[in-house]
Amino acid sequence: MPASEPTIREAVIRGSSGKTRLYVFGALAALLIVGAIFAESLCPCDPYLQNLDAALQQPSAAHIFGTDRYGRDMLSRVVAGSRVSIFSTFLLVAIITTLGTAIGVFCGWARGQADHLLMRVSDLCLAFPGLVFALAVAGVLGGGLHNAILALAAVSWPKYARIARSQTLAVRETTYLKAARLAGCSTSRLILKHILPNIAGPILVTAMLDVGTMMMELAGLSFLGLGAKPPTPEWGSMMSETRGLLQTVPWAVFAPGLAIFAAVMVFNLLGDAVRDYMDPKMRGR
Amino acid sequence: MTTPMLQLQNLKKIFSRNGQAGFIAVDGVSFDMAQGECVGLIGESGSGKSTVANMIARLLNPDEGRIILDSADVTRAGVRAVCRKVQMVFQSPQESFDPRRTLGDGVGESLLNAGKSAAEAREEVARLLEAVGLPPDFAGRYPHEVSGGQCQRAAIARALAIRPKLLLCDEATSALDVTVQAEIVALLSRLIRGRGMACLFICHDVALAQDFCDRLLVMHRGKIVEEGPPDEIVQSPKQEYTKLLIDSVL
Repeated sequence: MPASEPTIREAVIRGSSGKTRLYVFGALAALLIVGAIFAESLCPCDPYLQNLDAALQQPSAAHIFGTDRYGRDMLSRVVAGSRVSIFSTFLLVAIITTLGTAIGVFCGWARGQADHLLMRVSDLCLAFPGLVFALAVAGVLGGGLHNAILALAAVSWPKYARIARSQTLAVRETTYLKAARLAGCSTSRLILKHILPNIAGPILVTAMLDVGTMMMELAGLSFLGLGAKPPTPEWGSMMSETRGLLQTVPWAVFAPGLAIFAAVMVFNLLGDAVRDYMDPKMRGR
Repeated sequence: MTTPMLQLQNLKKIFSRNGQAGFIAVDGVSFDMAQGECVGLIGESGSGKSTVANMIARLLNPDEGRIILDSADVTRAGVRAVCRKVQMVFQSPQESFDPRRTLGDGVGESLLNAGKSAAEAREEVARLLEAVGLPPDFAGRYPHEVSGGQCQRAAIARALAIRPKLLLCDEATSALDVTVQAEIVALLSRLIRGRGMACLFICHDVALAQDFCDRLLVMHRGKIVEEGPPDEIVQSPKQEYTKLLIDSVL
């Protein structure tokens, strides 16, 4: 019997085909992103509209996830919150990837004193537990989503700098880089045309895997009151607002919690699938 | 007497580790090369042949000595200062091309860097590929899609693109099998003599160097131990090391 393409169920559960997993989780992630872009039109109700008569309602046909203590529709707030949660995570990952890669490539290329200095700074950042350091930074800078992103960026770039630096050191010793230097390439051309494309793989995969982690950490800071401020719908701060009601109105906590769980899982599994796909030894298994 | 095109004067390279003086790779090498001359540099692995080539191409800095190219002292010059005059063909053809770029990109890169337009470079790449016996569609192929011999032909096309005066062949045929080796040597010989280029032919195969070169230099432990016309060196070597080297091959 000829080998057939595995079904989606097989692919998801057994992870039997890297490509199928990539497509499945890529499609799910795309769905989340498109949903976040059109969040406003997808909301069944106005996420900011208060209706104190309908406060703390159980899930029903009118309010699938129930309502919070101000009578706001939880489903609408979860959908509207996806925009803040997902895009601020993307912004954060874009910042740390760009910053870390730029610093790492510079260190790997220039070496010498600047490299030593920047790597010691990165060691310093790596020496602190990430979220605790981010808490301290967010505490100093003050609350707000922008500061939460800056705080997490301040502690998360060294991982990328380390990867980019080691990869740059490896590529700069290759024969093809010697050949490119002999072709008369300027330093900027060497870096943009030869080094970056050859080190992009591992950095991209790390960034994909980090989307889930960063989403959690950003929601964590918001939960602690150092991220998005009410009434902005953001999953972490929504959980924080309703956490006192966990025993009486659990759905108000579960709705944003489930959203975080689902989004983090989709982006993590997509990251895994991308990593496996980029590894030639894993491809086709 | 005309001034030589390339002069190496007492060149020395020490590879240090952790600031401590370490291995002396090249120990006082001096020789001249005339315009259009083909010089063979032979010796066992680790004798410092490639280090000499890398220093001439300015990919490595010498610790002592001088490199004079076309009457100009280039001992401290950067790669870009000499790359229009000196080009190199490396040992491992596939590794000498960026795996994420096509052979055409690699061959045409020096032309783009020299200020040619993309269209001019494309035309020139097609001409160069034809000159080394490759069909024009190879410009769109990636290094892993072609054989070692074909890739080395492309590497030769790349080295010739900028019309250098000196070609450094660093074990350019060692990674290839014997029949392909012969083809590449024939190609190199035709192109070098046809274009009047000088060539420093580095290899450990004495018979190959004997056929190919006007003059041979024998290198051992970072020093040039013997120098002369190929036939004389092979038939009546004066140094014990040269005898050993020749006996081991022939």
